[in-house]
Amino acid sequence: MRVPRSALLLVGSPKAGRSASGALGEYLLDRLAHRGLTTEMMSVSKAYKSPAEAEALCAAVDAADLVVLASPLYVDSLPAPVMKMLEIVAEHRRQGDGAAPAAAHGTPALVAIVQSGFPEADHNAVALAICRAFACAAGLDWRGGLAMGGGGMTDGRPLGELGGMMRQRMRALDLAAAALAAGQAVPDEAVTLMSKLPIPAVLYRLMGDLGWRRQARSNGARRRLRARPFAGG
Amino acid sequence: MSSRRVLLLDGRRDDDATLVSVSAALDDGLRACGLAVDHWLLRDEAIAPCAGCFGCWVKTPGVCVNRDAGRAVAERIMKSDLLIFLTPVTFGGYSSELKKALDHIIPILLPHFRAVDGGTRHRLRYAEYPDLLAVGVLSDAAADPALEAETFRELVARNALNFRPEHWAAGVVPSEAGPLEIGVIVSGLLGKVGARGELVSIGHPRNAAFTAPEEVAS
Repeated sequence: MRVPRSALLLVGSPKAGRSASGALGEYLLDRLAHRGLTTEMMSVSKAYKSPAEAEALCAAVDAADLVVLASPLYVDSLPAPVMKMLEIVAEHRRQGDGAAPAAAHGTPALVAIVQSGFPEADHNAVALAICRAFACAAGLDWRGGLAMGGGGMTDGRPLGELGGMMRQRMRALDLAAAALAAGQAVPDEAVTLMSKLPIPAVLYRLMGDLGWRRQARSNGARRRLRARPFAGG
Repeated sequence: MSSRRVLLLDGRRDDDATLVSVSAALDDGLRACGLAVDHWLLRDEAIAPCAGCFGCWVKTPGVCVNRDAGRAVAERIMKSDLLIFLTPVTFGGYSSELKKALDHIIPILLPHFRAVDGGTRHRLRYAEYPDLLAVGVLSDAAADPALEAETFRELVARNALNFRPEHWAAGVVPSEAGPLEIGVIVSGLLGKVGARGELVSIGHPRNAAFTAPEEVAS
């Protein structure tokens, strides 16, 4: 496999501010930069709203050696703006004589990180399968995917600020960066480490439920939390 | 006239001939059964992407905080008895047009977690939910049609686990299917939707994965 010289991070979170997906992607991008790759970051949400940004994103994908897609899970799949971006990029790369445009240094590669608020990483399996099929359709080399559960624990903060709680996830991304920078696929050990929740699932669910109640209370909605506005047809 | 109401979320991106034919066959088949069909062509709707703010859970529980057509998704779903997804199979998933509506489905659930089959899902907000039928049109240009069909099936199965419809089914129509084949396929799908969790074979070799019935765990 070809050794990449540049990496492009596409952040798929529709959130305006900080996001767990952005934090994971930025950590990996930083690790790749430390290994000598030039790096660039783009927002999928901006490209969704602006044809000019979408065009720039397509050009950036063509020019990159390694594309990193970091996205949250929305309803068992990728968010609508990410799906739209995949559709646009695949169509763009199928244009011309039916062949993908040549990248600066050959065929770009794709690696995907998908995270969700559920404790189990397996929820992200379909989204990663979609990313893989997209890579095939767009003429990108698939370098593998990383699935993470418990995304809510990061609160969108840089991983380095989260201490021991994210130690295994950072180790997973370190291993992934080493392999990707060498032109290799994400190793199995990284996939396994990324999938491990640092606390028991039952505790995570309990903490999550308490967090929802606390947020509802702060919004004055605690008593309406279980409202059924459309019950009875 | 049946009192059953159908909401058809049409996620077509363009006027692909097969998708248009499947759409017409669905409408005709449903109306022939006396069902009232609310056919929602999503590409005509300006629905802002779900912002991931969770306001529909913790600010205005059950209702999206954004006042555009996306707010109507949960209401129209909960006022239907049969929910149909129609979409081009897009890398094994749904089109961005269908997804821009489906991303607004989360207020029909509660934020609280529940343990299901060794995993975690959100608790149900309502006592009853509509049945679910998902129909995908699979391009003959797909690099690995069998894999994309299986990914689509798995996606629908996971969606069904979210709100546990009493009945659900999924099927894929190959884009090269002619009008006669489409009619047979759609009739079969509509006939099968009453079978609990049954997946539908549509008479095409690459959809062999759809021949085995599979129940939604309860």
